[in-house]
Amino acid sequence: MTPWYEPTSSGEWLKRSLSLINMAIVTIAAAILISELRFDWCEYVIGRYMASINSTRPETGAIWKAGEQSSKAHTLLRNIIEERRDAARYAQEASSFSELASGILPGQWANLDKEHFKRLYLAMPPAVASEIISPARLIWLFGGDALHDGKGLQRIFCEGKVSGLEIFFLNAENRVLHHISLDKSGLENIERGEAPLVGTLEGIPEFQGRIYPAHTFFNALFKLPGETLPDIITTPETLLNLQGEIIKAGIWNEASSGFIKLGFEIRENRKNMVLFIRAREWAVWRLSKVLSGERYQDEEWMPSGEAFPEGTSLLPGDKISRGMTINSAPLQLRPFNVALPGENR
Amino acid sequence: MNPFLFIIRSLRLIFYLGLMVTGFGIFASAVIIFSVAEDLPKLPEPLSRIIETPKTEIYASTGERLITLGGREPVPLSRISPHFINAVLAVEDHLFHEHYGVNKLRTLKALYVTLFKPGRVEGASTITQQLAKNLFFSFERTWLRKFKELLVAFQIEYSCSKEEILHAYVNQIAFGAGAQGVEKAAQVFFGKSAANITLGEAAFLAGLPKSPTNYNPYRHYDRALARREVVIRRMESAGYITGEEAKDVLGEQPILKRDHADARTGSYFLDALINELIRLYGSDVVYYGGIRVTSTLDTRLQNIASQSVQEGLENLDAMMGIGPDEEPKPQGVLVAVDTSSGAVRAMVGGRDYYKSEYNRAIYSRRQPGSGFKPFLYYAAFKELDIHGGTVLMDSPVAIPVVGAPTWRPRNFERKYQGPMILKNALTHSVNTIAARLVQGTGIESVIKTAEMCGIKSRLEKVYSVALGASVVTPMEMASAYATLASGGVRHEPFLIWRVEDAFGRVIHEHLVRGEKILDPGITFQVVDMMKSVIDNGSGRVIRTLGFSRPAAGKTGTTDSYNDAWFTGFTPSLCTSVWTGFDRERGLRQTGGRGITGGRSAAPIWAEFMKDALANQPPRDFTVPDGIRFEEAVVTTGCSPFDMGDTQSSFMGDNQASLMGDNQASLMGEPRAVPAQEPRPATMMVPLKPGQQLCSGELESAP
Repeated sequence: MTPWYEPTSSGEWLKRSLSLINMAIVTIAAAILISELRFDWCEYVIGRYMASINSTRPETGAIWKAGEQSSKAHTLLRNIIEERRDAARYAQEASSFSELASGILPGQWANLDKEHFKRLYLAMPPAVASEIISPARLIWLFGGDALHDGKGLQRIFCEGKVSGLEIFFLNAENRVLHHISLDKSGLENIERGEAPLVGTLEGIPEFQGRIYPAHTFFNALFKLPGETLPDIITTPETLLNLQGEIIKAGIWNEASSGFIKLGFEIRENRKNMVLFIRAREWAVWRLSKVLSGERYQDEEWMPSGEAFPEGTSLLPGDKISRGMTINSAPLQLRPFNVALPGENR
Repeated sequence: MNPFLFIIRSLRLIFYLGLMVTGFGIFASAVIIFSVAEDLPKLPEPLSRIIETPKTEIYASTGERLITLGGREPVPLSRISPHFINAVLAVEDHLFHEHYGVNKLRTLKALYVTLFKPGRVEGASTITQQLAKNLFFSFERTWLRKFKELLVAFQIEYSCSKEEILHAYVNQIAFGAGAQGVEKAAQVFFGKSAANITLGEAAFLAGLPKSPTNYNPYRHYDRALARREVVIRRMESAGYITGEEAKDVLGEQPILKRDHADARTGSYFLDALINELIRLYGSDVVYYGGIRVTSTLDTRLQNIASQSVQEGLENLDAMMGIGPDEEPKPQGVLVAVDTSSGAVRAMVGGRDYYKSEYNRAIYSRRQPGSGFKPFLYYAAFKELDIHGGTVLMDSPVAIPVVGAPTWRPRNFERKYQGPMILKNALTHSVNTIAARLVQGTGIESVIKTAEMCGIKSRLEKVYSVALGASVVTPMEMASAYATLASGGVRHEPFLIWRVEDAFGRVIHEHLVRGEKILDPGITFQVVDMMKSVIDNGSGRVIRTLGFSRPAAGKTGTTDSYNDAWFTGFTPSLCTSVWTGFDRERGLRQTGGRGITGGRSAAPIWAEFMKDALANQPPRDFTVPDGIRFEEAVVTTGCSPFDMGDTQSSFMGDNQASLMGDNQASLMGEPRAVPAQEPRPATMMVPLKPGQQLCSGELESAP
């Protein structure tokens, strides 16, 4: 075999340059180049490869980031709406105010149907309901546009709080006509009745000076007209459901929303406990009068809400109406929201 | 050597070298492609899907749409003017329909220029490459980024038709001024749809994406116009238009829409509102959530406010001898709040939003000067059970301060008028009497009153707080005065009435909750005195400017004239106006005379309130139950009908100490008044049940 040598003449050069293999290489290279320029097959192949792995590639880059932000925003909004929907469902399905307060979590809110509010309210004994909101206030709220300069109650808005629930009575301009705060634990007390207290009436300062033996109390009670009695024993089941004997009864020194707390000291298995019920203020006033030995006169009653401004304190001996003197201990007429959950004025 | 052989040898060398380099290049490219392709961003299918983001819309309380944020809705090519399509193709990529993502010859040329012509950079990106870059890549200039962009461009070409690519491109391209996509750009710059733009407008728009900042037509109209000429020439050379059409178009000057000038909101109110929305929900929801926000803004009032501030500041410039091109210029702020709800109805945070976005209405804390006195008077009335008819001495006062020099406040005019009733003292903004009141009332009580009313800035526990030495914002002033206007019911100021999601479901709504925090009777007494400020006192310019409705207010000017305020209200609207320089500099006329709030801020207030309330019937402040009016002599506090025997002021024990030294006894001496003496100046003073003029016994001051 002849070893490779450099051509010695131009003819040889030309001959070798135009050899079959060289021509083939040049032709192929040119074909590749021209076809690429003409048909863009290189771009096509790369594009096709890229498309083939598209599904496995990450969603990164400016536009995906924007999409991600959009997606985050929608998730957040969806959560807000779902929470609201849950709260609205709880609001409509609640069968009591304490259920309502438990169902609407802090930060959530819902509109409460006016009729539903009324149903919840009316389902409670009046003495208990009035602790949520006084009936007069509620009638004023539901009384129509004329009572509110043409802008009466439009809807009831409930907002969950850590401590319980805020209820706003709104007009069409979203103005708060009235607002009540319901404390969860206080609400349970209101709805279930106040839990019995182990101890005696004497141990509760608010009863001081107005504690009576049970027989004295009931004797005085039965001296009142029969129609008055339901206004004193407003929740008889509280007393009827308990075992033991009633040994004393007392009258609380505060009135709120037209009600005064009565305490009954029960002895059961050598243990003393105090049960509470709420009685109408005016009925208690009559009862106090009988208990103090005065002659009962029906026309003397003057509702405290009208006779005395809120916060008025009556000291022993103070006259609260024509000639009437409250027993001996102070009777304070205080705004409802001072001591109990309820109306926020 | 034989020259022929040399040529042959060289050609051979070049050929094989080229072949090797090309081969190596192909190999290297393949390696790079395989190594980077896996990490390249995924292409959405269809391409336009991720361009769509719902827009957040912000509305005025009066129903007008104020702004849309972040939303992009692609418009089909059929709804875009063909002139624009042609212009974009001509100027960006005239071979768009012929290449496959890259214009190879132009790329080689650009490569050559970049490599061998230092300092020159030539772009060769096709529309597809630009789309790839805009959708997925940052704007850093690296070879690797360019390569990645190229790969994605190839995929786009493989996966999408030319129409889809063009559709995506024109709908995502940035034109500046917050306009992304041709439809938005047409709306922003010309106030019309992309389908309706003319040839001239289309060419104008097509020129902007090259450099939205440099060609921002609101800032550099000439540059944008020059760029349009380039576009027109390219369109002509590409055959999209004739020479005649080009000539005609070049003769036109596109008219820009006036009320949108930047990517920024252009509104202090909207900035504040957007910040509030971001605080509530985060920026993702605001810009990408497609929410619908109903704000408290009243566009009519906002327009009046902007105009009033503008005119007022121009007058101030003239008063101060500041020329049109001179800087710095004084700034002006106006905040108007609905007294019955706290809704912010108008807000001007500075002279020119586009020169300074700093919202002075809510961020700038300045001394309110005497504007703070109403809180002092309320606190004093409450704590000391005094009223507008109580007399105090206007004389030099020195109040010892523990651990600090004695405080010796002086009156603004450096004059002292002797005894006068408090109503007159507030009317004329007498500092010595205010100083005596704060001494008698206590700093804490004054601060508490201001805070209850709505001042949230930290107030310093110093006597001078009563004369407005502690800084507050105009928003706080408007809100706190609104509490007085509403008879002592506080409403938190707010900007947002309602927020809904894209489907109209409510996610936030403002409940108007008034909190009764002030005594209505005392509040009325203070308001009555503030009415007198406008009717007879430091704010009487309000009346001379033709504002005749019942209104109350108070001027405020700091010692060095750095801050000049007027805050006032009618029963329905409370407005605070501040004027002054951003940096410490007094407002002074050319002659050096200082400019007070009564001369700079009050005229702005009057002009604004006149127009703002033009549609409402005049209404006076409601007089609370039990309030009665009695006429009191300004210097004695007694009824003018009692002058014969009790021409004196009588003060209770707790009020006597408020008198200046050696003055109280003077007050107590009955003065015989000759029958022919002219009737003394009097003022009507509202009194609460139990309060009386000339009541109590006078005791000597300690």
